[in-house]
Amino acid sequence: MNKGLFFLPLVLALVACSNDESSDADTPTDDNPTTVQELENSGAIPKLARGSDLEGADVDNNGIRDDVDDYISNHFSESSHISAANQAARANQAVLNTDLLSPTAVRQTNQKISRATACIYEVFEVPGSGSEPAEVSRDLEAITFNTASRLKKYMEFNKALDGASWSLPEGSSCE
Amino acid sequence: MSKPTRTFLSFAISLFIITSTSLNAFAQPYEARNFCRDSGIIFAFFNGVQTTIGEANRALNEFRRIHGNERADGENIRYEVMYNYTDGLDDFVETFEQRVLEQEQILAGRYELALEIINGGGKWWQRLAELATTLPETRDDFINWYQAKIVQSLTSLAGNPPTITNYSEHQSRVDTWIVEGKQILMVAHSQGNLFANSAYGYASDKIDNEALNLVHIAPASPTTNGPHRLADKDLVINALRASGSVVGITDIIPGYLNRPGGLNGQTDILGHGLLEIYLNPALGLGAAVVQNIETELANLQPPETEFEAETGFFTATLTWNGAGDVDLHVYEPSGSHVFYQAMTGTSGYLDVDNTVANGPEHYFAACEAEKLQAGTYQVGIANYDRADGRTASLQIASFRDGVLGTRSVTLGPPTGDNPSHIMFDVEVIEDSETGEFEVIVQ
Repeated sequence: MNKGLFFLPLVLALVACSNDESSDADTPTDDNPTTVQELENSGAIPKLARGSDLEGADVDNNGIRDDVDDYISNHFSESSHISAANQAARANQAVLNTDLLSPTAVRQTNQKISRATACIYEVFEVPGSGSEPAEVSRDLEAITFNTASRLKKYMEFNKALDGASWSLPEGSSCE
Repeated sequence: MSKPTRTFLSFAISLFIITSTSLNAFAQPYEARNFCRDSGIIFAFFNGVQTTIGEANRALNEFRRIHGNERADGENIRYEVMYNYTDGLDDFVETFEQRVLEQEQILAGRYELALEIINGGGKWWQRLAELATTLPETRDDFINWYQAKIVQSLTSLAGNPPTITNYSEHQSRVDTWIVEGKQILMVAHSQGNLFANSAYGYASDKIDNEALNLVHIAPASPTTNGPHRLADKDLVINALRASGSVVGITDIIPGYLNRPGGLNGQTDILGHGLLEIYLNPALGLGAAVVQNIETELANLQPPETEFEAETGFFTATLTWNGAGDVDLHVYEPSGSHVFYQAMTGTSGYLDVDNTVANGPEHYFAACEAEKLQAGTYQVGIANYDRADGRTASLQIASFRDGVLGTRSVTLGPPTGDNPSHIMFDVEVIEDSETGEFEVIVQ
């Protein structure tokens, strides 16, 4: 048998794995990325799903889009960090499901965001956490609203809260 | 019942409640569970131009991180947002798409960059810029458009400043702070100064000067009611200066390329951002802003309020616009009907009753687990006398999260002791496992 043909299935399997979005794509692969794909694979920029649907895929039905789930698992390792990031991601994702014509619904989603942001600070402002809470919170906000329709919905959500008032939650805000 | 009698009773019952609560506290052999942290100081933040909800929350958390939960004398501080949205940027997403994403293949579809490019870039933008030399030009083109739009928006807003009566939720919140005897520190950034000036003017007519202070950060207004800070390279305010008067520059900051990252790691090419510039601990300006706030916090004094209402687990504050007697009614889960003739309920109290004009009337639900009942509290209002055609506003706020809802209604003819409008169903839910209570409005 030709040695090349003998190794063909293995080569094809490796190629298939390299194109699989569910592989450990954010694992650093290159110290000096020269393409967008390499930047994504290195974790230097987020690798996100950009489908036209507002809510996106959430296969495990945990209230967090699957690509945001991947981002969190690739960026945080401590359980408290993951839990706080998940809470923030769920709160941001709730914006996309919110009926903006319902002031009560808008306010309830805002309360989730307020509590989730306070939780991010509770967890990440601890010395030695390795991340600034403002940066963690802002990155999660940015990757959630990563398409035109999602960003527009977020802007409309902001507008719906024009003139609102709320407070920094008292007590622990982590779920 | 005559008005003077009701006013006297209001005062007497409030005094009785306060006294009996104190006596009960001494009489109890165990420490009652109290869900509320008594805060004498309100730190009210009025956000700047194009601030997202997320960014407003981050700013509030950063303020608490810097100034803490209590003042040096032990007085607790409560942090609240008075949110305002920036009009005139409805085409932001489309313009970002056309002027940025469509200009370079590697940017296609990356809307996550939108919120960082308005500060001039960011860690993701910087990495992409290593792959395409045209990105700085693309960014500058968009920043120029963005700067022109926000200056246009601010100029329009400054020419026709917002009034607090247009922002009924803010007004009701200020009324609640005043009736609860709070010391109020307003801190405003950018366009938030226009809203804060309006709120300050409204509040200053109602409480002592010593109980109200305002700190201006990068004000988009020539009018100030307290100390201000403005960077020399704040390109937004500098552009406003070209079309009208603005306050004087107080601080010099480095040029964009030499600027250290702020609290969120960003540098802000426009020199206007709150976390990037004005609260940046690596800039002298950041330290100066913090010092201004610390000084104004320290200068606050408790007001000599005629009736000091309690901060409850949740509160209902009723106000109206003019003369007349409007009444607040609360039907508690126990069936108790709390109003001016029965000011003490099973779980709460009507501790402020106004029979003359404007309000407020104020109800609070107890913070003690032993008194607070789970269930539905129906909150309604009635035109008792002389308030036909008035606009009445009712605000529900919780101790934990602040305002939960504000609704207004135009009153019809008097309905005596029967509420004409049930404005809110307030649900108090007890977690059977933790014993904690949660409140939501319907």
